[in-house]
Amino acid sequence: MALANPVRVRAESVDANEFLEWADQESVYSVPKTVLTTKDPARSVSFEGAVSEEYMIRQIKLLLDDTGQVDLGS
Amino acid sequence: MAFLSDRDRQTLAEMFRDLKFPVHLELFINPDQEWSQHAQGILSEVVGLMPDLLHLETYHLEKNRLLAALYGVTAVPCIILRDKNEDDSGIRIIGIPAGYEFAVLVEDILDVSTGRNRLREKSLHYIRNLERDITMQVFVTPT
Repeated sequence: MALANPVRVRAESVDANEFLEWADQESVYSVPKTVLTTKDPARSVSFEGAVSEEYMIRQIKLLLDDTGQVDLGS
Repeated sequence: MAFLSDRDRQTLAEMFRDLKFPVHLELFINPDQEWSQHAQGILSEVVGLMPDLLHLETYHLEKNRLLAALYGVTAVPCIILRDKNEDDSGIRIIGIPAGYEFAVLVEDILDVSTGRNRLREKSLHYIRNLERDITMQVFVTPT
């Protein structure tokens, strides 16, 4: 996804064992855990497990949705 | 000290046959930190397998604060992948690239080098048209 739009998307793979404090802050209890964030307004969405591409896109839509009316069907 | 086994080298050499364009790896480290030294050792051996196409630049975090800030580096070791035009790919690997993260590193190098993208057309369209910046952090463990 980062490669599709490197200007907008930053994709980070973080070793939870090395950064225990960081992982703790993000409540990482099982891996993989994905944390999606955006600034201004600062928001985040997180989920655990290996997910499908469609699920990931839905979560990004949820993250960026300002209306609470995200169309999860598309 | 060798970080990669002969078998690793052989497997990697085979995988790297698919490399197409150069990839620039920028590694931010704290030279006093064991993890950083480990990451540097692994990456040196990886780029050494394909010196024409893979380039490694190592930066001390403390001495390169401005550059680190530009890349958004907050924790080390941190690897940034840049493409043939030296444009930021948006990909970061934070922590020692060992075990699972090693596989991530190799796949990412191949993706950046070949420009391949495995997303479906619909997802690709959505991501390309994002109007706001997003950060996707995936916490993993090496084993």
